[in-house]
Amino acid sequence: MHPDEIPRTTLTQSDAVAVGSAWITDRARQMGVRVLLLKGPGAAHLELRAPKVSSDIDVLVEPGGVDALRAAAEKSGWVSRFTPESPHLLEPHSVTLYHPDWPIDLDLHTYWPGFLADRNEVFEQLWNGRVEWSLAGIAVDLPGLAPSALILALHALRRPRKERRPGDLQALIEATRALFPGADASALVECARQLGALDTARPLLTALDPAAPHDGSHPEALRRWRLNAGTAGYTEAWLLALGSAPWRAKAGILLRAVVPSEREMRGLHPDIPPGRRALARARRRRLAHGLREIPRAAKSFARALR
Amino acid sequence: MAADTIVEALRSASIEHPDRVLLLPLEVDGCRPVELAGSGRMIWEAISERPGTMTELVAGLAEKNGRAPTELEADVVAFVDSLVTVGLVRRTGPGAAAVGA
Repeated sequence: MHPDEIPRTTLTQSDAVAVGSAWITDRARQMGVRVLLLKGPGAAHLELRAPKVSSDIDVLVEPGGVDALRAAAEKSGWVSRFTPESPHLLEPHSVTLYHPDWPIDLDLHTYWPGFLADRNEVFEQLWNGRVEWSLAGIAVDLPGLAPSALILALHALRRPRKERRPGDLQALIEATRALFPGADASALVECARQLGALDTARPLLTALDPAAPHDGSHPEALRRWRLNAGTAGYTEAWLLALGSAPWRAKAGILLRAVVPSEREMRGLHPDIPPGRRALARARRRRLAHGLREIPRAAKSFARALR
Repeated sequence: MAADTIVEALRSASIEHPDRVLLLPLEVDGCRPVELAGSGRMIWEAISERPGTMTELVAGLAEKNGRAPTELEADVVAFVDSLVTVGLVRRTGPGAAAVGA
């Protein structure tokens, strides 16, 4: 009996998601920070989608807990990814970390876009209805079935033009229909009402209950959600920032939109080759794309205002 | 003497595969997963099933493998030292400070 030395391990994505989810849950628990695992293998466990290999771990962190948890992850070798400084239609909702030895990202979410109700109330609602599950031998917490369905729907609806995976929503509708047959759909609608997702998750809700009501109590947030849902890039966000800024700030915003900093360009497009010429070419391409997008962005604004 | 120390498993996430077990130590920083197979896996499983002294661990493994404890002791002690280093195992009691301290 001669046990070998313990070798270095190359993780598969599937194993990485499982042990990484267990690790971040355990670490948060030791710190007294409440977290819920979103999407990923938990969604398959709840039968909301077929098992598939995820490329990241999505963690919803209780309000105020992200900074401490990110620091703990960084202490264990995780590194924060580049965050663009360009304007956003939706307030940034997560920090993304990678680990040089891991094949997946770790997304720590401060809130889940599309749940328009008060963020503290949303988290408490999700936490109070959580489902405990065991992953890699560790107890983890998932949102309940109805909110998990809404989370997947909102993910699919957040930027459908960019994601280009319409099949995801259709498959989710079929799975949810089977899990909430007939009158049970009212439980899903009620959950959406409490979380402020009656309007944002509408395609899922009306597929199950054509009489699902509107909400209308978060008009500005809903307008931004709709604008964002119609975008694939950043044109609308720049136009909105430009339009809402005081006159003295407009020139600066316009300059940043047209000639982003090198850090911003290379962070957004890591494939740009080294050198100033390559950077200039990339800036020209970006500007041309932005100009082509303006008419469509204007229509998108008009739709969102209706 | 090392054989007098108590050996116990620390918390870890684990995934059982038919030919190996993947473990991620939870009580140390670093997020460094390890895989154990063969006799290394057998030693780990013996420790994680029940904490005990090094003498008990070696005796149990010797009995399971039909060997004399003296034949295994050096290899088992060395491997337990490796498990201590990666954060999967803790040694306490007399002689424990020499390893992984």
